[in-house]
Amino acid sequence: MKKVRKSAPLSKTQHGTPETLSSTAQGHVAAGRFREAIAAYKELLKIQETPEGRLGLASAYAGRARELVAKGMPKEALTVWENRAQLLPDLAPELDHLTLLLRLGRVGAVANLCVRGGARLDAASLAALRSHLAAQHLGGESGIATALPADDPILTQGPLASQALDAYCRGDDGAMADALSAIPFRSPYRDLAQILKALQRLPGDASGAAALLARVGDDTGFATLRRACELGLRARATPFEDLAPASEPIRRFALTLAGWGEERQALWEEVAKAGPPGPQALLRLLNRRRATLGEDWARSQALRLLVPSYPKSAAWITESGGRRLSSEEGLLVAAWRAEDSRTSWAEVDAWGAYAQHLIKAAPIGPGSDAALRIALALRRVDSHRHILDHASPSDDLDDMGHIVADALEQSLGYDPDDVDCYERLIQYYLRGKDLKSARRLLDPGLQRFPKGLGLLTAALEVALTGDSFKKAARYAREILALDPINTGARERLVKAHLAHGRKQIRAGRHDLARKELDQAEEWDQEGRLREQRDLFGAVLALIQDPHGSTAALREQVAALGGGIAAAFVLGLEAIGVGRRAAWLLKAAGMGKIGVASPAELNALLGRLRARLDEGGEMPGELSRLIEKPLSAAAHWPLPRAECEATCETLRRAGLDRARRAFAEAALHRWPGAPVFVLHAFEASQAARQHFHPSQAELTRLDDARRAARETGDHRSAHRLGEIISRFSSFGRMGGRFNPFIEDDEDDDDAEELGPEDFRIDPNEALRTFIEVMGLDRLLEMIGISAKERAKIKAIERELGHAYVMDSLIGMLRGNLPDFGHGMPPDLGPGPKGGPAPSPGAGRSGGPKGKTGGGKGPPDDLAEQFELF
Amino acid sequence: MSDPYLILGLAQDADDAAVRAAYLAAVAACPPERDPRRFEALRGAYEALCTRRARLAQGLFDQSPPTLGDILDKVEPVRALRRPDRGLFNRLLRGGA
Repeated sequence: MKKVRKSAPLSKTQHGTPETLSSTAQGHVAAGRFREAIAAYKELLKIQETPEGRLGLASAYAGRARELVAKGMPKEALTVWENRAQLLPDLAPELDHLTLLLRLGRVGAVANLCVRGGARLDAASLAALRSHLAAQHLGGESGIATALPADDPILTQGPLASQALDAYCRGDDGAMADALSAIPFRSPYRDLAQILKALQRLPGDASGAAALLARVGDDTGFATLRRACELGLRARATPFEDLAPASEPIRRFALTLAGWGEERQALWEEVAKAGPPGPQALLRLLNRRRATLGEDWARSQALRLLVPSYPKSAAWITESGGRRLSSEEGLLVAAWRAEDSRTSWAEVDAWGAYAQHLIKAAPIGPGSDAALRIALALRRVDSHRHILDHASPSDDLDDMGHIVADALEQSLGYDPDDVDCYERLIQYYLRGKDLKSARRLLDPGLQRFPKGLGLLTAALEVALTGDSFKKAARYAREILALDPINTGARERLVKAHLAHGRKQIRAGRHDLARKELDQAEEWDQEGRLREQRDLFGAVLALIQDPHGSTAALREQVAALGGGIAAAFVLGLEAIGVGRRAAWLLKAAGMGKIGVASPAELNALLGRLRARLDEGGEMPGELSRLIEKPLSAAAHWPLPRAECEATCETLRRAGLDRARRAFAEAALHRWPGAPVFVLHAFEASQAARQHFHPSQAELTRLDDARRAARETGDHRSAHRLGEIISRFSSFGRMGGRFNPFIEDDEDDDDAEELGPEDFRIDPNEALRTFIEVMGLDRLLEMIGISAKERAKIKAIERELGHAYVMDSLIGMLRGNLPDFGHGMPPDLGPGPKGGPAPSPGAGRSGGPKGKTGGGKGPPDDLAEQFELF
Repeated sequence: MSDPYLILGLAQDADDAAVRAAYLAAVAACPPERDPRRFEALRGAYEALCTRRARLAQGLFDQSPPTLGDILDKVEPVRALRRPDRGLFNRLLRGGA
């Protein structure tokens, strides 16, 4: 018996009786530990020679042989199979043994085994073995023909299978079908027939082909061909790295089937065999193949590979055989890199530099690609960061919105045919009521795009904002001519006429107010705003004839549903025409206002939300009028979601008294609920000036924050956290509350605090001082100009409040040398944990090329802010 | 594959008409119901190239790095499925795993 490798030695504990050895060996086989199983069976056979022991050893050999094949050791595996055959010569050969022999070219041996030992194989194994022989014979293995009897179906049906295969390869599906039809169903070539029929379905019916292929088993001689076909079907969607593990013949077959040409396959083998190439390998490939790929394409793709590691990667391009980056290329890659930057300023600078380079590079013809490229570069920051989506005009020349708007306006000089650019700029200027600038863009925009709906809508807005109602009506007509179902424009115009009518009433021009109402009626043909029109008409009638009938007004109250919601609407209308709400409520016969039912409450909240959503404010008189009855309604047992929504609406409306009432009532029902703790605290805080929460309140807030986090209410947790950190400085100075300590600490020793516990960190004291005073007030007090204040506010928006605070504290500390006198000397010189002010950190001084704040005169804070 | 020119099989100097023609041909060859992902890629490529402004913007702002697939496509695009020759079959039938 040959030895492949010394079997695993048995440990002392493994020695024992035949029974224990047998049991141990069986356990090893079951666990897949075949080496150990072989050793145990051999030990057993030394003690006791039994047929069972021999069979057990044979099964352990078979397991070990398969294990070796899987490890890529076919020759060693064959030795083990041979050991098994010698151990039990009468035992039927295993199919895996036979296929291994075929794989190693021992075709004659297999044919002999098949003929000699075929009777000992079960039918399935014999059929599988015969399919292997058939596949080998079809593939050109000459030994099969000599080893098998001449009348064996493998030989007699071989020519038909070969004809079918040849017909498929040359695309003759008819001949293929003829040949396949002559092959019997139980032929050893049956699986080939399935595969060819599957391939014939391509490319139209890939799923049908896959289903046919799936019928070919893993143990047949055609399984390798089936796997290659399946890989070919998936090749378009298969990641490249998944192709690498396949053998070269399988991969070549699959990729050819998938439509890969020779050059493509060769390049893949050259580059990707070792794994997915990195950027530098791709750069080398691009440069090596640039003639084939096209110089321009290869270069433009090479630039994109540099972006993530730029500027370090600038050297890669020459290292990989390419020419150095030109100025334009360097600026473009830098701009791409800047787009990953956290702040927008890097991007503003990078795209600005690129656009300027293009502008200076060559004369630019109108309408040329060069001009369009400049325009696109100038617009890039806005199109990428959407800066103008919400920005408002500012006097601050360094304001981000201002800079981006300037760039957009400049871009129109190079590409005046971008309607979106006009619209964005007009909306931006409208947000700041800068009608002059908006009109400056509107005129050329409408000249180029007279039927641009967005532009016409913007024109309507500009006209309405400027009280140019005739113009507005003209634009509205143009919009409706283009888009007859545009209800937005119609409603906007009706509301504008009503607003103007109220203005005329305030001016005492009741005739003109009536005219506005008539125009509003004319535009509101569908009656969508009838309620507003009718109420306005009733109020106008009442004003014109104070002693006349108030029936129309009372009708309106009824139409509005009566109650507090109707009172709210009437109050707003009265205030809109310059009268007191109480006057109109009295005229309408509405005495004491109350909230009679949850339905009335919901009706009022609905009106309130609609008002707030339109950007309307809450007049003080109206707030006073409704807050008391609203507060009284807080005791109703509303569902929790409604309570939350009510508190939120009241917060938006600034009705803090009512909000507090609702929040506290909710806390009775849901004690400690974080969202209501938050509302209760905020509402109570709003009512008290120079308010500072007590230790107990802060603890309660902190508990609520923790509870909010635990229940996944991140919004409340965040808002509570903000409140706690706002008041944390006080805690450090005068108390022991620290919001950053998460653990519940024992407060028992609070009374034992000594003077050392009350040391004041000067930075924190300054921070508290600024927070209490307010940033705006402080800047104003120390003489910072409005322009500089706007600049600092812009920095705050861009880099955050904490950054501005730290920078301010740093500067103030430098100007207050005696500040903190008497404090322990080891307290830090600058803001704790905050970044040092630096000109490069933001727009702060950067564009002007100025240096950091430390170089300014120590007693001139205003100058330092200029540098800041 | 990320390069819209390669997705639509277009030259870098293709104009509006060429882009549209290539898109329509590609969609006809591979309708959305057959391969929604491929259609999505075709649509994205068409939108990236359909106007002159879009093409210039694509060149200026698309910083997607090329993949090996892009380079292979540029060298030789994948053609329709094709039938391997007998030699490739024979290697597999003889057990070329």
